[in-house]
Amino acid sequence: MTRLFAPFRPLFSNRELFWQLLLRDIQSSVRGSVLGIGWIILTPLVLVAIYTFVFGVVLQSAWVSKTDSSLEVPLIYFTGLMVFSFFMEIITRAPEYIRANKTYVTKIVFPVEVLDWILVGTAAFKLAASATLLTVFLVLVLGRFPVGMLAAPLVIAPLVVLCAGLAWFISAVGTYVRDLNQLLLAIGPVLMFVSPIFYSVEQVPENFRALFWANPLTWVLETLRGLLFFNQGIDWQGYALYWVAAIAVFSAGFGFFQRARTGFADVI
Amino acid sequence: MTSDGIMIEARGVSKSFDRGRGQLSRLWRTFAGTGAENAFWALRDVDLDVRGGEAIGIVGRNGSGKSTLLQILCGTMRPTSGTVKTRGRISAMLELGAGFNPAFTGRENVRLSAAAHGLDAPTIAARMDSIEEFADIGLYFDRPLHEYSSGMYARLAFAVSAHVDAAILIVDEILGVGDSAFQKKCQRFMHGFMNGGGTIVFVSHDPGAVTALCKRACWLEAGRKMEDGVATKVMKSYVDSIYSLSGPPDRTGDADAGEINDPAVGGQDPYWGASNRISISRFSGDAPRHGFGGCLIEDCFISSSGSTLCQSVTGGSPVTLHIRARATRRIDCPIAGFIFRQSDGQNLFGDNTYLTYKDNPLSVLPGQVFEAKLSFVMPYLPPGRYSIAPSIIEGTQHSHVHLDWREEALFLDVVSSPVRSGKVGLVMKSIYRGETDVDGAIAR
Repeated sequence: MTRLFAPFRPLFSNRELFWQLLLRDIQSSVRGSVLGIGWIILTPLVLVAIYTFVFGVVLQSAWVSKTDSSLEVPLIYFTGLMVFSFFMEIITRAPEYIRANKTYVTKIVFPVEVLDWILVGTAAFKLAASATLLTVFLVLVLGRFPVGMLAAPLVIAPLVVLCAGLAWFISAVGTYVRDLNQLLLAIGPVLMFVSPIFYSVEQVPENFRALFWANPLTWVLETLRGLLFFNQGIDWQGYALYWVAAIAVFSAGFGFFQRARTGFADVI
Repeated sequence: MTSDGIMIEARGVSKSFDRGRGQLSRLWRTFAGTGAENAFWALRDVDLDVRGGEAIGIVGRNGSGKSTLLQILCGTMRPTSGTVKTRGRISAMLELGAGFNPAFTGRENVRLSAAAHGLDAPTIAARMDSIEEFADIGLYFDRPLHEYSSGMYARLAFAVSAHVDAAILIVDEILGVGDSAFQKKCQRFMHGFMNGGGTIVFVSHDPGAVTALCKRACWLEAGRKMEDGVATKVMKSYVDSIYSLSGPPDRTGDADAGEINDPAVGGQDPYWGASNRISISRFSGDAPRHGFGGCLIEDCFISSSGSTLCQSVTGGSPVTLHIRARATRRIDCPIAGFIFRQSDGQNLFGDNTYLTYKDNPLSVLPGQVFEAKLSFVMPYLPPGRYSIAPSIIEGTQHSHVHLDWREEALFLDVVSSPVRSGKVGLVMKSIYRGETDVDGAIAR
């Protein structure tokens, strides 16, 4: 049990540092630009506009017939994209993250474990900002508060834990192996099309479906969409299973990171 | 702190770097704990005990393992074998502005840097004014760091380190930047820090800076400890070794020429009451140079007898600076000169051949070698590093062309000195204390 909480210990004992760095990490992506923090809202909006045009107008989506308002379809995409962006941000930033913060590793006395927490924290902040934006849109489109949104954090929590675990792995390996960054950048777009963002798993031919459920994003995307747009509940058995997997990845990732970090200063 | 007061305890510390191929196999070796492939040993079996209230200077050439040792003492790098135990919070200044983000203001960076040292928000807020005052960079404190000069960086970094309740301060060469007022402030702070029981590990290339701060020094050579003990003694061996090893060994044809010509041995000035040994490096042919060409300074050295090179002289003794140059074109009025500088670039003194030879111009033909000898009494020098920049110019003192000018062609190092005040100590002709005659003339 204590091992399970080991990754949280450096976070707690360095909470002041964590907040400082998290704030800085969020700010530094927009610092100096005219719109500043506005970009965090604007970037997903632009994406949604493009995808709405391509998949809603050019290629007709199957969801148009299932929803009350045609304006809901872009919001379905938005829901999928915000979850996917969260995942991708962590996956693509992690390989270079330790290297990018080289001076923290080699030149000052610093708890290196905190770095990955910041990576996850920034992505989570952007996800929360997008979710807030989504809620506002839903209220405007539906004319009422989307009750399913209250359960959304519950669905996303195990994904955050899973991504933190992946971040431990990827950042540790990426510090040694530079190719990992390129590899993940190449896989990124592929992953977007094999995740049920612009379509539902039900549209996937039966014999491929099992493969889709192996994608860690599938369960979250499907559940969240059902919850927000189609009045579906949470499959609790799947939920429990997801948590077990997430915690396993999380603990293993932290253990891996702690072993690998002994050599960080030597390789960067 | 334990009863024995030892703050840093390093036992048999060795570090090997893996120079093997393959990123993945390297990751594997980290996990498997198998030895490094094609290992490079940066440190070998280093033991080090440093007590509270003690400052130790670490010296050694580039690549001798100083930085590796510091990183291991800080805990940012793990030794391959051996153990390091430290007590109390460590504040490390290994690199100028490490951990600072240039896009953020000084105040924001202080907040972060203090948090990285483990201070909580209320403590940081309470100390902010004091940090701002220590840094003393005025309005720049609220400007982003990319507007800072390197001196301001150093001020900010030092100001933070001075306020984080560190028990051990590890400083690598950071004080070289910043003006002398700030350096004085740092010196004062570090002395106060030691008196309060703090421990300092200090790395510098400037022997004067080491002996000014540290009573003890440790000399590393190729990853091993060569000498550890009284700072002035260790620095003397170190400085001697770099000068006897650098430069082509066949220059004088006699490796011990420096020792034979060394008037420093036993030489004591009657007025200063102590000897002021000055070690001199060999002429460095690849020293930074500028000038329009036309001649090439081929050699520059100091002798005490007026003929052969000396590796050390004493302050207060007569010396001759030799400058030899080869003309690559016809030169009509060559002037040879030099400037004697402090390590911070301040000119202490200098002279040239112009006034003596202005009515007796010399013409040098291409390929011809000419020599200038400037004899003077070497002043007493405070501890520190000095350099001599020889130059050949053509024309007059007022209207001339630089032909060849070498910065830092010679380095001079002083480890111990009787000079207590001023930039140089003069050779006193006589010193008298007693009654004055009625007419004020000195009675002797």
